[in-house]
Amino acid sequence: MKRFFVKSVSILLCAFFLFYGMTALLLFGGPKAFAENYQQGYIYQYRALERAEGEKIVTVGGSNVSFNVNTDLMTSLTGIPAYNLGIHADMGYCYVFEDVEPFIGKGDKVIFPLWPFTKNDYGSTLIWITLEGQPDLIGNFISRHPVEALTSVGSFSLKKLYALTAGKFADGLKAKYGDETAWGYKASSFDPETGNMTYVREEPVSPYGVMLLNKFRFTPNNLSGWYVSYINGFIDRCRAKGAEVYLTYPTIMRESLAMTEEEIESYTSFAKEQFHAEFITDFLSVCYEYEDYFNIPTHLNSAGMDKYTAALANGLRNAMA
Amino acid sequence: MSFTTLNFLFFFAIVFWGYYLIPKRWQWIWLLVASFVFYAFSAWWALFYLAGTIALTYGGARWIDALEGKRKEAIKNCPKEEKSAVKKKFERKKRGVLAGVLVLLVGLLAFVKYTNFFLDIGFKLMGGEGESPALSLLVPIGLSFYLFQNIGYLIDVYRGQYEAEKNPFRFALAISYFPHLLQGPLDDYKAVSTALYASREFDDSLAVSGAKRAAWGFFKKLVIANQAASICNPIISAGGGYDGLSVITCMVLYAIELYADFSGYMDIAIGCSRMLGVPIAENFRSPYFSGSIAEFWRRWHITLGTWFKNYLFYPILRSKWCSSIRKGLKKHKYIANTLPNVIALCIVWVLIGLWHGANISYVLYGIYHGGFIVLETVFAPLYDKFHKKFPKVQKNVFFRMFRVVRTFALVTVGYYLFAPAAISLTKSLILSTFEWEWSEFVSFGYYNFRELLVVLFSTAVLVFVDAYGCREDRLPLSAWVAKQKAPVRYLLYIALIFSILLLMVYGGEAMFAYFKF
Repeated sequence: MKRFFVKSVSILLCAFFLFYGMTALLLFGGPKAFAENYQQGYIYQYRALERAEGEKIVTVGGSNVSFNVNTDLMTSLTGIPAYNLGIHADMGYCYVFEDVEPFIGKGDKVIFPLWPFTKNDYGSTLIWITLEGQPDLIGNFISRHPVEALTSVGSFSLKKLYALTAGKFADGLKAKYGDETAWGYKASSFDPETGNMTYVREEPVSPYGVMLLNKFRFTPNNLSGWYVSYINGFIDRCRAKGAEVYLTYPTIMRESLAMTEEEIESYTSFAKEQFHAEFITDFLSVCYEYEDYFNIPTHLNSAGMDKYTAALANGLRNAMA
Repeated sequence: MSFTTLNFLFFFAIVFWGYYLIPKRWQWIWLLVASFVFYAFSAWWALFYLAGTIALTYGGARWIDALEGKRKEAIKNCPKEEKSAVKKKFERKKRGVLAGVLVLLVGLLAFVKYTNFFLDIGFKLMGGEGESPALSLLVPIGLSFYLFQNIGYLIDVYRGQYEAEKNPFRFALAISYFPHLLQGPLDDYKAVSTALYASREFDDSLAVSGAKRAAWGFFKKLVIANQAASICNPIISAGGGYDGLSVITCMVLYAIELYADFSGYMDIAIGCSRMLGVPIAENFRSPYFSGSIAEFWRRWHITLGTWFKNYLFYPILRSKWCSSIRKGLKKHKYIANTLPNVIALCIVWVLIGLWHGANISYVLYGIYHGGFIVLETVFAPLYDKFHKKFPKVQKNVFFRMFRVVRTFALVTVGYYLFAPAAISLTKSLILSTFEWEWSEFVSFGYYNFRELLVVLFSTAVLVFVDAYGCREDRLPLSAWVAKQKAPVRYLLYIALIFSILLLMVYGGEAMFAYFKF
């Protein structure tokens, strides 16, 4: 029995040592595989928040933050420095909320476009890609979620090994058959100083019919007990620090809404009852026409982005007044 | 608790070391407690279902046993001419008890699993529009598996194959034993209980072989099944919208995913159980190397097939009803032999379909497979004639390969019904299959290139292992590994663990595909 124990533990330790050793090398050393990646935008946003001083506006969420909120415009409309944190819903909302919380201080305004998510919401693979070569953020993730982090880091190693080898072949195919980086999915779409998406999106790139394939429907059931208490917990903690959280609705192309007016009314009134924070926009007032969107019905083009940002700024001013 | 969680690894480490460290007379109690703790992790309320069904079956079996004892006593003491009447009287009583308990067990399964299905059908038949009324019922994980174990045991006791277990806790262990609790295999009660109640010394070779088997199961589930799922699940749940080649690729990947998922679970279950010294039944024997659908089902989910054969197919064939068909068609020997088989097969396959879930797609899936098996039964004399006339054909490698590929293709087509479990999605997947667009397929390829490479590599390993073990004249690969020198063996083990860590998609509490059944 003792022999079996020693043998099995030794084999496991050898495998772990080899694996995590290789992973550490890939995370911290070697050529960077994802420096030009869209996920780099998150690091720009995070570092901008780190540098921020004094009162600020922070909008948190997924890609609907990066594509839809122009922090430069928000700053000029409100007179308060504005920041975004959120570039991809698949990174996991919980992760983004955990990242933003330490930066919230007295007088800050946090805006969250209400988007339902679950408690298992950690997109570890995307998180790891984002964290390549960022020791402090890697440390944060591991200390907050050791199990999540250590069981998912293999996917990063695989992705990096792939990106440095066979991935180049797939990139060749991508270039030949259509390249999404043309839609702003690259690091250079962001201002490295502020993390604001500066990539100019003039008109919709997806045909109307393709956009319509995505339908969105929210019901009170989406706002589960866990979700409501999670958001309310965040709101309460921010308030305890002297900050205020404001809720808004995400912008969705009007024709992509699979909801009747009664359903919208029932959803919004339920949401207003549930949360400890004020809504600064109406649901339909931030749902625009096809011309304002870019590639999917939740991503605005540059003109749409400014429209939504102005609506948020206006709502915020009214709420603060 | 899912096998592929860290919770399970910690849980099993405690159970394993505890099992061999405590006094031997407590070993089976240790396993019983562990099994209930294991099940409580899925949902504490599910323990009531488990304990309730065990108590019911235990009571029923003991009652049947008592009636059997009384019958023997009564026959011994009664005059010769009354023996037959006494025998019949007790037989009736036993049958009554059996029927009563079966009604309760099957009724529970039907109520929990199928109420909403039948409500939906009823609602639509009555011309209802919109959402059908539905009850919010809590369905415990693994219910149909342990209910089937209970039913099998009860029928065996009724048939007098063995005596009812007197100790309720020992019986509870045989049913709730954690490696087979949630997804089977549906073990033979006698075999598993004998092994479970025995006191055990630690056996190094069993522990090593069990650990290897479990590690291989983790590779199958975490690497092959989960990687394949990450490619094909979005397409299946979208029900198409992709080009035909992508849909076909996705369905082939689904076939790989399902096999790796379910057989991976079995490998972990068998491996862990072997480490505890308890052998449990094999459930797979390289099913995708089958030459026909009937053979496929003799190699896929073997214990479910055996269960249906023992407790449904043969009883139907032996029923008075089928006997009367055979007698009535005496003159037409072929029909007299074939028709009862066909009827029994039809009933069994509709029920196998329904067993998978309360959904018309599953029923059609059962009918689809049952249809091929019925055809094989009906045309069996023709096949025999053909093979007698051309005996070399059957041994021909290319013919064998053709049969394997054909069977795999037929099984994969069946997954159009099984995978999405919704007729509307099946329809759109089929429609998409015929819309070929090369550039869309290439884009599907490069977006999933990494996952495809992993699946390709790991499936090649899987096919090699299965093909190696498939040959009856050869030992399985694990036996070959065991014969190698220590450094080679350790390197292989380290490589396997390293590959799991590198290539896995860890889904936390990600469910195994068969949990929902």
